[in-house]
Amino acid sequence: MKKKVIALLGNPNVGKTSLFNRLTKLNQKVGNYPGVTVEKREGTLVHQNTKYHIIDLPGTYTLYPNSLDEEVVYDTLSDTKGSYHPDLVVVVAEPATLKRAIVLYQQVREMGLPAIFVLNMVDEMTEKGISIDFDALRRLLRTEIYQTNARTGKGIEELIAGLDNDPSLYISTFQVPAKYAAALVDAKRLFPLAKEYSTWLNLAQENSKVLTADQRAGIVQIRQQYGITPQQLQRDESLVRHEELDRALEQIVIRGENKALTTTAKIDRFLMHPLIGYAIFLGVLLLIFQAIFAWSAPLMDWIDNSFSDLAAYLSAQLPEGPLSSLFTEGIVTGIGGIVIFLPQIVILFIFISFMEETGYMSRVVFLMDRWLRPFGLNGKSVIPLMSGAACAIPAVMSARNIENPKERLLTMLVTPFMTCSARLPIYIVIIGLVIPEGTFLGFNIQGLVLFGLYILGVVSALASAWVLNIFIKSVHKSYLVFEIPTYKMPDWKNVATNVWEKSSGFLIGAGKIILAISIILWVLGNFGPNDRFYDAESYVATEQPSLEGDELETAVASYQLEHSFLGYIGMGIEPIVRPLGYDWKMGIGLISSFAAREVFVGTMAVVYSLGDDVDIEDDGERTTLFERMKNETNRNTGRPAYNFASGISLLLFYAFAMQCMATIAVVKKETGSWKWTLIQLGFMTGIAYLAALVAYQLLK
Amino acid sequence: MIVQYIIIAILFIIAIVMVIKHVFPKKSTDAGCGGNCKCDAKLQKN
Repeated sequence: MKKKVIALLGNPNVGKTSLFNRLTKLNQKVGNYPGVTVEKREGTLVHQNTKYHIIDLPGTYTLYPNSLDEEVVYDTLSDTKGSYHPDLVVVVAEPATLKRAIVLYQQVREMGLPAIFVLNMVDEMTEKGISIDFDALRRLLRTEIYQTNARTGKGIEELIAGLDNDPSLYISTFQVPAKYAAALVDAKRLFPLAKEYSTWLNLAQENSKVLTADQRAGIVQIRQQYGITPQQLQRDESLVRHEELDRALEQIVIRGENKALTTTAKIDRFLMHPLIGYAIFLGVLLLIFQAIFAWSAPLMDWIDNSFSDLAAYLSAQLPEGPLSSLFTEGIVTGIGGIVIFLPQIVILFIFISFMEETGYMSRVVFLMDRWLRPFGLNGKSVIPLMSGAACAIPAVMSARNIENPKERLLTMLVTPFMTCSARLPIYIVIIGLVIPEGTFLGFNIQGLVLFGLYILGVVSALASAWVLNIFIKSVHKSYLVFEIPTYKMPDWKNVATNVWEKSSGFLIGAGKIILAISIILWVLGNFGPNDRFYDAESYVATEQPSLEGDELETAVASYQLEHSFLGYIGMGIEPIVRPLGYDWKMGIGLISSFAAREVFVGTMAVVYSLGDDVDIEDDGERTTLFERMKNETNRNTGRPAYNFASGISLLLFYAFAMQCMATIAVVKKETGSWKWTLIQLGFMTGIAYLAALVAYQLLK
Repeated sequence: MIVQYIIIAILFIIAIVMVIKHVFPKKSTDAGCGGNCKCDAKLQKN
């Protein structure tokens, strides 16, 4: 079977990813480009005995990179020996920004790469008042032009059939300005086999990765000799191309009234209003958190009961012994403790994807820019901060879009304060235990508290940025330049794919670590270092001779847990967590959740299940996770373990603490500095401990 | 019964290795894998 690498290239917001989804269907995966943390989407398509390996390159306006994303595009296209170097580039455009896409197309062709041109969103031409002479455009571009609508699938078959065709020969139209001709002649000596435009690109690029050290030194010398800078070359090329294209497109593209823009302008009158815009944004956030609580409750109850039933079923079916106990008390209970939160996470991602798909997220970037600047951040910081509501790991990575190094560093340092989905299970379970049900001004009180915790996340991120901004100095001037797209109905397939990717990623990523930790906890809780664990019954009978029946069994189970390995570890750290209102069992939860926050609830489910002396096969005695936590007593205070004071203390601890090793690893990778990683870890943990301590001591 | 304890011991060791690998990822992490290096490596291989 023939193999061919196809790269999808285009400006942001031209429907490139929708087209990628159409071409690859479910045969796609998300990874990273080698050596960098830029997300790489790739997939496969088999058509007429050819296997196409399709790469969805990050959206870019130019081949002159200003960010890591754009660097990846240039490196992929220019590195002829790279494994992702394309056999064919598919340049994707949309009618309203045709000229910019043509500039990108011309640059690619002049590098010597074969390319075809796809005009996506063709159905919007009428609404946008645009008419195009496609025959003339075909002659101008010297390639086939495919008209598609990736949302409906229109034109996709024709495009797939065209992937095997070779575009006709392209003759460069770019005339190098005369003032650079001598420098270019000298540069050609460094690249004797390269095309003239590739040599020009090497002269105009700031930090190309494909050059050898000698070539790089030679380029620097030529620039110095002729007194030229890469920025001058880039600017002049852009001017030449745009002037030429303005003339060429005059007869090809006819523009009338843009109704889409009119509709967008009408909507933006409200959504971008200096006052109403912010009120609407706040309302949207409130709606999301209300929905998370109100819509998911029945599903959560169902999942909780199902796992409880599954544990009972396994207990009845498996032969009696430690392995059966490991499955029912350890694995099923631990996994159940995380699956229960899937409904909320799906709801959260549906809202985030919806905001991205409709174009509202871009407005949020714009709205927030002026408010984020005093904190040393940039409007683009909103994307990492909002993504932080899902998971800090991809959120920290998404900060690579921010060009200014200081703003990028600040964004990475404060993003983990945002309430990630791993905190959600902890918040939901603790709020459910310590905050009363009911309504306030028509709002669900528990939903309001959750909303408050999200606001707390935002406030602490901003406050930390403000403090760090004082200490971190920057030499670069910062500005926000980006394109606000017109409003669109969301592509529900994209929403579904995104929700599926993020939710399954959370479930698989979290599920694996919780499975492992559940096994470890069960083993540590079922074995002990001395005979106080193994002869617990005789010790309890001696110490409390009056106990008998169920009371004796419960006392033995509790005594065993206290004298297990797990018990001794918990007791060891209890002095540190006692001032925060926690007992040793909660201390174990804090330690295990350092691997990942969401592990806390699963840990508590396993720990309390071990301490229970319940006949799991008896419907009357079986308890759900919530009931087990509600019934737990703090042995130091004699009060419920999850009372108002300890609950608020726990909520605050998790709101601030950097309880996620994977995020620490990513921050280290992205900042390239242990210094900033450790500062962040110390800063967040210190605030968390202090806030929890103060809250408990005031409220107890 | 001894077989059950051997299985539990093996599962315990595997679990500890899984946690260590999660806490100290070797490769760069990515969004789809929730920060898990093994998942990332599998994706690269595919």
